[in-house]
Amino acid sequence: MATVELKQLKKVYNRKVEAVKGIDLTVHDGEFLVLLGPSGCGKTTTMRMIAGLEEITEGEVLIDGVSVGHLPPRKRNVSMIFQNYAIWPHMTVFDNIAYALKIKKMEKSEINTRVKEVAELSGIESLLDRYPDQLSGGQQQRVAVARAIAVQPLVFLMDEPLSNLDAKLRVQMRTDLKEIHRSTGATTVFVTHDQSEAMSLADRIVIMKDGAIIQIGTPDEVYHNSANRFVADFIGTPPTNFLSVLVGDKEEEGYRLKGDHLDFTANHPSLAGFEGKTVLLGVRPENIDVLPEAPIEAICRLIEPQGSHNIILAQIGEQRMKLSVSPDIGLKIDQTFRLRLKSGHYHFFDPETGERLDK
Amino acid sequence: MNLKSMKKKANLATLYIISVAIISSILIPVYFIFSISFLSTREAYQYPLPIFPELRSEIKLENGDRGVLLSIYDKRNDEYETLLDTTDFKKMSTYMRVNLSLNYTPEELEEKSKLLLTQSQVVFKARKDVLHNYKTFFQVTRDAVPALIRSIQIALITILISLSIGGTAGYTLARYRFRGKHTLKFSILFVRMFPGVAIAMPMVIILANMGLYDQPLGLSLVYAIGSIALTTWITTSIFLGIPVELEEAAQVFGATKLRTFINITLPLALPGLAASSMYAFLGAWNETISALILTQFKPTFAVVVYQALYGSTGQVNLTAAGGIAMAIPTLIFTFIIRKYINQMWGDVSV
Amino acid sequence: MSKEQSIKRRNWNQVGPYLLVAPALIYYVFFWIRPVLKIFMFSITDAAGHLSLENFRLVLEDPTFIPAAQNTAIIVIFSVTLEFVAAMALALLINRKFKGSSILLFIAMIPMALAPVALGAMWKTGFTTHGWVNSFLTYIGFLDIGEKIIFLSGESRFKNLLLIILIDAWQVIPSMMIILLAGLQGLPKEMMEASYVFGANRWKTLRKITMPMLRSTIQTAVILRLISALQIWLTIVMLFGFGRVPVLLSRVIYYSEEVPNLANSYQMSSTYSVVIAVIITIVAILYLRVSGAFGRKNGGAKA
Repeated sequence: MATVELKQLKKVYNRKVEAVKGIDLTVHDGEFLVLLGPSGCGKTTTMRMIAGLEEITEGEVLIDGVSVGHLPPRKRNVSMIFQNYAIWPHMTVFDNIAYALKIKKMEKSEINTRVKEVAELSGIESLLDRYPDQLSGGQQQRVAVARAIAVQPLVFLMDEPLSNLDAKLRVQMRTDLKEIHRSTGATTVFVTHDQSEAMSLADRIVIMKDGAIIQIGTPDEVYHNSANRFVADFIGTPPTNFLSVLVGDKEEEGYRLKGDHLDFTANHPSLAGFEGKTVLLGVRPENIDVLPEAPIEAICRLIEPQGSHNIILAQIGEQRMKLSVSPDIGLKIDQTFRLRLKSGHYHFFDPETGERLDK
Repeated sequence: MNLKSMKKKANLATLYIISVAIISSILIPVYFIFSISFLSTREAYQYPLPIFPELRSEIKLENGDRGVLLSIYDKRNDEYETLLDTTDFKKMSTYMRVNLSLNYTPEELEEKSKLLLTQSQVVFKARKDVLHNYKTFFQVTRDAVPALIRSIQIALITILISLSIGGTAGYTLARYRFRGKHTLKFSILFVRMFPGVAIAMPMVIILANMGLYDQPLGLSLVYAIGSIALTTWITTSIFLGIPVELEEAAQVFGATKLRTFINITLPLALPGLAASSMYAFLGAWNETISALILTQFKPTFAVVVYQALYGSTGQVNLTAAGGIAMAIPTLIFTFIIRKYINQMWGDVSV
Repeated sequence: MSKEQSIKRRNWNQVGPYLLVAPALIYYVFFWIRPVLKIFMFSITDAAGHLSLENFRLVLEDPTFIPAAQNTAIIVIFSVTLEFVAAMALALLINRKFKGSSILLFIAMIPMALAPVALGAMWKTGFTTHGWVNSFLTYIGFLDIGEKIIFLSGESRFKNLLLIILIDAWQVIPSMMIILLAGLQGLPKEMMEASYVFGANRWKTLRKITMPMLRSTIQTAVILRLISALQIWLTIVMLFGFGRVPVLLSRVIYYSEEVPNLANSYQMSSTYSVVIAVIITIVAILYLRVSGAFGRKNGGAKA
C-alpha cells in the first residue's frame, strides 16, 4: 500500500482559470480520504491530476515518495471508479474486470481466479457473462468496483461513484465500499459533494472551495470544530445556525451577548478583544436545549418530524434557526418557547472573514 | 372504449397511413423501373406498360403463306398476335431472342415446326429469359464488366482514404481542444461549396503529372476530396457519442493511448464508421461527371451506364436494366448499414 | 529524465491535435486549394493568356446565363423550402418507435442511395409519353385508356420546373427526414413533456422548444441541401438535354463536355465554376448568418 503526497499542486485552464490553487496534502497509507466540496471547487480536477488524466500545471504528485507527474495514467499504479461507471459496453463483465490483467500479461488461470475473487467480493459472481446493458445501475457500479479492485493498485481513486444511484442503493453501497476498504486496506481517495457520504465513509475529510483546501480533519473534527463559516454551513443536515450578536463587556459569568431578541451571557475565551464588535455565533441544531427557564425566547414556525427526532424551525426576532429536539417536548406551531445553547458547544466566527475566532 | 384510447388508436392509424403513403410513393417508381428491366422489347412497346413482366410466353407456330407463321398469345386482347412469317429459322431465333426475350436455337425451332407436317399448329409455353436485358446491356456495352470492377476498386479506395484521413480529423475534433478548431470545422464546409466538376477539370493536369490520369486511384483521390469533408463531420459526431470516460478508464487500467483507441474507441465507433463509409461509397460509386472528365480508356461503371443511357430514347427496358445494375450495389450496401444511421447523424452540427 | 518526459507529454497535448488533423489539411492544400486556384486563374485569364475580366463579361453576356441563373434560383428556393417543410413534418409524425419503423427507415434511404444515372433512367422511362407514369395513372383510373399526359415535350417553363422540383423532392425528402429524425430522437423527451405540462399546445411546443433545440441539426440538413441543390444538373440534362432547361452547373458541363473545342471553352467552364462557387458561398454564409450559426461557439450547446 501507499501514501500519496500533493505538493503545491496547481491547475490552470486556458492560462486564466485557476481550478486548483496550489494545494498541499498527504494521504496516509491505508487511509480513506474524502475530498469534499461544492461543484467547481477543484476536487475532481485534483483527483484527475493524481490519476494522470489531467495535466499538472505546477507542483508535484508523489505516490510512495516517487514523483509521478510526468507518468501517463497506466504507469501510476492507481485504479479508478468513475461517476458514470465507465464500464466498457462492448465487453462482458468478465472481460471488463480482466482487461487490465490481460494488459499486464497475467497467466490465464491466474486471471480467472482473480476475477472470480473480486466478483465474489463485490457480489457479482453470477453476472460475469453478461454485457453491461443487461445490468442495473447498482450492478454496473459493482462491476466498476470489482474492476478497480482486481488490479490491486497502490491507490484507489473514486470520483463521485455513488451519485448516480438511487437513495437506498447509495446508502447500501456506502456500507459495502467501507467493508471492501477494510478488507483490502487500500489507500483511497474519494471525491464527493455529498457531506453525509463523506462523513460516513471518511477517515479524514478534506474540504475544498474555489480550488483551495479549507479544512482537513476527521469527520468529528470538521463537524464539531469547523474551521470557518463555510465548513460549518456545508457540513451537517440541517447545517449550523448562525446568529449575529454584539459582544458586550466581560462580566462575572462571561461576555454579555446581545442581538435581536437576544440577551445572554457566554463564557468563551475567544471573544477577548471583540468587545463592542458584532460576531457570528454558530451552533449546531442538536446543541440547543428547550427549557422553560432558558434565556432566549423563540417562536416555533415549522416542525419536520424525522422519527427519532424533530427538526424545529424557530424564529428569534428576525433571525431563524433550526433545532433538533426530541419529539417528547411536544411543541406546536406558533407556540412561543424558550431555548438555551448548550454550554461549550457553540463557536464564534468573524463576520467578515468567516474564520472561527478560537482557531 | 374511452376517449383517450380512441385518440391513441386514431393517432396510430394516422401514423400507419402516413408510413404506407411514404413507402408507396418511394416504392412505386422503384418497382416500375425494376419491372420494366425484366420486360421483353415487345412488352416494353405496349401501352400501358404491363405491371408484371411475363415469365412465360405462349407461342404458336402455324403454316403461313411464305413459311412458318410465328404468333404469341396476347393476354390483354385474348388472341394471338402474328409476328413473323419466314422459312429462315435463324432469323426467327434472333427475332425471338431480341424482341421476346426467348432463347431458342434455330435447330430447336426447326424441330418444333416439323410437327406442322402432321398437325395444323404447334403451341408451346416458352420460358422467358427475364435477365435478357441485363445480359444484353453487359454485352452491348463492352466495357461494362471491367468498368464495374474499377468502380468497386475506386469506391473501396475512396472509403479507405476518407476513413483514415477524415476519421482521424473527426476524432481530433471530438476529443481535443485546440486553437483554430472552430475555424477548421467551418472550413470543412467550404470544401463542399466548390462544384466537384470544377475541381475535376484542373485535376486532369494534376493527375496527369502524377501519372494517375485515367487510373482508378486518381479518381479515388478526387472523390476523397468531398468525402473526407463529410466523413470528418460525421465521425466527429460519432466520437462525441462515445463517453470520454470509457477511454480514460482504459488508460487508468494500463492501456496506452494507441491501445485504448484500438481496444475501446474503435470497436465502439465501428458501426458508425461503417455507416459513414456509406456516404463515401455512394459518392464514389454514383459520381458520373468527374469520372467522365478524368477517364479516357478506363471509364467507371457510372460512365458506362451514363453513355449507354444518354440519348437513347427507344429501349426503355434496356435503360431500366442499366439503371438497376447501377443501383443494386448501393441498395445492398445501404441495407447492410441501415441500423447505424442514427448514431451517425445524432450529434452533427454546423 | 522525468522533466524531459514531462515536457514530452505536454508537447503532445499541444502539438498532437495539429499532427492528427495535418493529413486532412495537407490533402486539401494539395487536392483542393491547388485546383481551385487553377480554376480561378483560368477564369481571370483570356484566351491569349492575359489577365482580364473578359471571361466574366462573356459569362454575364451569355444569353443562357440569365435563364440558367433564374432556373437555378427557382429550383433552389422552391425545392429546399418544400423539402424541408415536408421532411420536418414527416420526421415529427414518425418520431416514435413503432412496428415497422426500421423498414420505413430503410425504404426512406433508397432514393438517397440511387445513382443520379439510375434516377435519370427511372424518370426518363417514367415521363416519356408511353412511360410507366402514364401507364400507372391509367391503371389507377386517373387517366382514361388511351389518354396520355405529355410531360417532357411541353414548352411551358413552369411545367418543366415543377417536374424537376417534384423529382428532386422525391429523392431528397426521405434522406432529409432521416437526418432530422436522428436529431429528434436525440432530444430529451422531458423537455417536450414539460412544455405540455405547462399548458403549451403542440404547435407552440414545436416552435418554442423542439425547433430551437433541433437548430443545429436543421442547420446541418439545410446547408448540405442548399449546397447540393445549387449544383443540380444531371437529372435535368437526362430529361431535357442541355438546351431546354438550363441551370448554372449544366453550363459548366456544356462547355467542358458538349462543346469542348471552342477557343474559350475551358475559360468559360472555369468562369462558370467560379461564379457558381461564389454564389454558393454567399448563399451559405447568408443562410448561416440568418439562422444564427455564427453566434454559437464550438457548435453550440452540444459541444
